[in-house]
Amino acid sequence: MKAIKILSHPFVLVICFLMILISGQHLGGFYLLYILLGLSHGAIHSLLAIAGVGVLLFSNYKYKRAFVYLIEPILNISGVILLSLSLFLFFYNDKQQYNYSTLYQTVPLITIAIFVMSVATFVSINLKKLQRTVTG
Amino acid sequence: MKHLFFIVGMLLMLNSCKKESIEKEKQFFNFETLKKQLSDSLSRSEMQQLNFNSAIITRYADTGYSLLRIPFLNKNIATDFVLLKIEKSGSFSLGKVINLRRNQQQPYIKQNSNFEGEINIHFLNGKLVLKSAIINGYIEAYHPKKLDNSVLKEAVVPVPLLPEVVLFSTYSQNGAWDFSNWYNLSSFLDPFSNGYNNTGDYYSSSSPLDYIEYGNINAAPFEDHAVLIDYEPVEDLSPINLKEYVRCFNDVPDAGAVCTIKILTDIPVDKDPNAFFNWDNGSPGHTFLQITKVNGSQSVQQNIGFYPVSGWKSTLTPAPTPGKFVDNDDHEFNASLTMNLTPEQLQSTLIHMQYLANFIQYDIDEFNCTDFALNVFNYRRGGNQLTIPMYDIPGGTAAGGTATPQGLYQKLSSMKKQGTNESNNIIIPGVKGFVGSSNGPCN
Repeated sequence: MKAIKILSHPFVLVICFLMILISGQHLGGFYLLYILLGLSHGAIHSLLAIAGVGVLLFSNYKYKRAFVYLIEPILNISGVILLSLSLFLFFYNDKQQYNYSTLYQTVPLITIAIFVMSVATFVSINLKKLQRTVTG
Repeated sequence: MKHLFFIVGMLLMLNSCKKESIEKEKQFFNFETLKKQLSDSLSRSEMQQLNFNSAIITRYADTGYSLLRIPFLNKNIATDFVLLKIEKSGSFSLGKVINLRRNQQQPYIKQNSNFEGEINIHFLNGKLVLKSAIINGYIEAYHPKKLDNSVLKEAVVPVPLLPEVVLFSTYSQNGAWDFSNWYNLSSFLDPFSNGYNNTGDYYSSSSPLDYIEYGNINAAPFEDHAVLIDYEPVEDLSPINLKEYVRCFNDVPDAGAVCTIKILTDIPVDKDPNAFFNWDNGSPGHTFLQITKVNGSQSVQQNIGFYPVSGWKSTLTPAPTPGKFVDNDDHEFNASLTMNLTPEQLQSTLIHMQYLANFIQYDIDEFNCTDFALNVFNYRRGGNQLTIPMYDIPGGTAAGGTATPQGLYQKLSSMKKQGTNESNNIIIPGVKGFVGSSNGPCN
């Protein structure tokens, strides 16, 4: 239970997201690096990542995981969607499949798996809270 | 973690300081000068039919010239125009009259439909250069004996050839969608040198959206933005057994054999030779070797590149990581230098390559794909070593800088411009070329 609580914390989720290991043909590194590289060129994956992280941090700062207002789980789920979309588009727009080794090398795959687990727990908890908030 | 922050900091700093070394060229020419030059080729009545106020100019930053389309009065610029190649001086060096016709029976508004019709290209003096059908976007006369487009796409070259007239397509520019045909204008201008084997080039909209909406301002030609359309192959990066690849050369007899070694560079951004990094996908480009041995009807060709086994380790540790050799079959390249070898020299080069394979490890800043390729290429060059400009890469620890594909490109490009002894052995394709296939392993 404690593990789920840790894994579903927005900070943990954001760290898992930024620490995803990308493995390119010659170069690799944490996803944070690719977000920063793409940012100055307005790359869509960078913009979505920044927006997603921003939404999650704002929600955490503003509502402090109290789940009193309907908007909090909605913001959280939106943030996760933005992060996931960022990662999806990063690979989807990589027409040369330059970074596709990420998807079949063990260590990068483990980092993706941890992120996916964090997303799953975070989203399920937020959906439950959303349902509870709606039903009152 | 400290290492990562250092790299990130360096990358951001470098990115923010990046010089826009391809400066947007400002070409000042006035229509009066151009008209005067044109009047040498066109009659007065023909000159009067030209609508200079509705001209479109397409600038090509990397080639230094521009293409100007001048429509005829009461005719659509998408189908009838004079095409001029404008040099930096402002005068034109080549000119053609272009007329395109789309088949009547072809549905006009259909996205992604292929262009079927006819093209007529005349010299400015009216003499016919070319009259050809356009089949599926390909100008038939450019591809003799290859009328079947499936043959064009699959069998002639290992990568698909792009048509000269791209299908009716869309392109998002500033959020607007532009529905039009896209032309490879340079293939119209100089048909028989550019028309073949087009695997990537700049395409211009037949009628740009902003041009239709706003037209020309201040009597200056409307500036079109050409789009690079090319083929990006997906490669198999499975490691190869170098010995099995090298063994194939033994199957070709030495006596009378012609042997060559070619070093090829694939820069990270095809349309920007000054970029040493592709900021979207993190690619620094690639350098690799093509080795061939031909004797009569027998020939062997192998394309070999050096890669890290695990790319993700490269920025996490400054230490070398295990490397692998990969068959760069049909890999793209932006510049190459060929060197002839005797069969003995080839043999010793192959032995040297296998010797290196016993111990080399991949190190992004000290022994990467470019270092490997240069090491093997230079092995039998004696005092005429190929040296390239070295660059400090973010997070790199190499004292003398790092060898990069971009550095090799710059070196080959400058050698070609200087007209050195080897300039004839240097190939720099328009946008990019593809190396062709490898023989593969021999048991």
